[in-house]
Amino acid sequence: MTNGPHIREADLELYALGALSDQQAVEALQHVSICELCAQKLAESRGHVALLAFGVDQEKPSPSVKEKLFAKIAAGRDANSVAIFSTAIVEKKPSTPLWNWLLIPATAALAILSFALWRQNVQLFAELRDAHRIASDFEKERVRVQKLINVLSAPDTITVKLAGTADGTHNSGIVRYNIRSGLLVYIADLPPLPATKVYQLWLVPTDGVPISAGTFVPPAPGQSHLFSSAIPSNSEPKAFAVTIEPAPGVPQPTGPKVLLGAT
Amino acid sequence: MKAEPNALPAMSDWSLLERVVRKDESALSELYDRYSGLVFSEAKRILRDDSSAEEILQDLFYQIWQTASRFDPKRGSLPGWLVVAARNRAISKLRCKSGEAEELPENAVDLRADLATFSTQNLLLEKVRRVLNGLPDGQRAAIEFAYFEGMSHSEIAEKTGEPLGTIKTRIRSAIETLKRVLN
Repeated sequence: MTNGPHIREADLELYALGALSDQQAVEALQHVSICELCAQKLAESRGHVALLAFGVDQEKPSPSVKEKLFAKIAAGRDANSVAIFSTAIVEKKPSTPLWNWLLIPATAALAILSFALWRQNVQLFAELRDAHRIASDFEKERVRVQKLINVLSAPDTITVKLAGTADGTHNSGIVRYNIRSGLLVYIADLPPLPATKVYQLWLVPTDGVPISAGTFVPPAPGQSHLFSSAIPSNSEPKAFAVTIEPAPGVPQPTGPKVLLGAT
Repeated sequence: MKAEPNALPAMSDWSLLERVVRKDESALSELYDRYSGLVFSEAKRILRDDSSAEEILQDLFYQIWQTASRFDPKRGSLPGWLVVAARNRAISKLRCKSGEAEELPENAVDLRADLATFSTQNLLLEKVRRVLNGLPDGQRAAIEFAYFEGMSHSEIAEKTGEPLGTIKTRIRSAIETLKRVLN
């Protein structure tokens, strides 16, 4: 139902019309409650859908409806007036000292209770907003991981093993690359670098200059590192290579090559 | 709907609402005269019952009287909110659900049309009717089932015996055509 991080316009229109299934409507509602852009688009969709009300044959309601409405308003106003008047009368009555002493702590206790409830309400609202944000982050991560899984399992994805280029090194890496989508997953075990340096992965095409697939630094000494990237699709690779470059990376390789693997 | 009684420019909904906030009954009366026909006709079309439609009409305008200060003109239009709220309440009644009050700010409706006078309302009514009459039967039926009967796309598919995808496409096409009315 979503288009990237947002709900598709067509689905917002179905939601505005009330034509989504209950489950889809709940999903849409959850998203709209945390996404200002989709909330705005939903308001526009409601406006489009509301036009249908103008296709109905117009009839005037009975004049008695308006009379009843204003009678109800007048009744409410009179009730308020009576309440104010009654309060005024009560205020004129002399209060006993005992009542005063009881009312003061009771009022204070109510004020404290109200304040505590208000604070709790604010806190709960903030927690709810955080929960929505976390759920949204998890969803984004799930989509990202699903894409990676799709790349890893696609039949037209190639695997290229990378080996250390310097004598005596046992560094290695694996690249899984999908030419059609340009998605790439890379796993390697490389030693740490100084803060001014980064590793940079390159796709060496059959024709043309190397294409950067991104930079990375190992998370901790000895730990394997998984990294994913998207490069222009239909880039036919001849080889993949990893070089050491000055941070934050360079447009073309300049540093020493530490891993290389031909397709 | 009758022609405009005079040629003076109509006071905006927002100006009238500001007066309603200050408990000016004449302002509410003007808003009622402006939109009660629209709300009543829509609710009656859904419920096919005068007294239920009148009840919704009265409740909505009483809610405006009580909560006008919560209406933010930046977040939507009053007639837009009125027709959406009237429709939701009528559908709830139709389906025997307990209709919850439509909170003014949370259900923003961005209806970009000037509806402050009867002549502008009539103009829009004519346009929408022309568009609806020009829709293919399948599209018109699908969108009317959804809007006036409160049916989901799967319920419409089941009722008409058409595939779900066809129903979705018909609804979307009908809305696309309606959008052009505003342009």
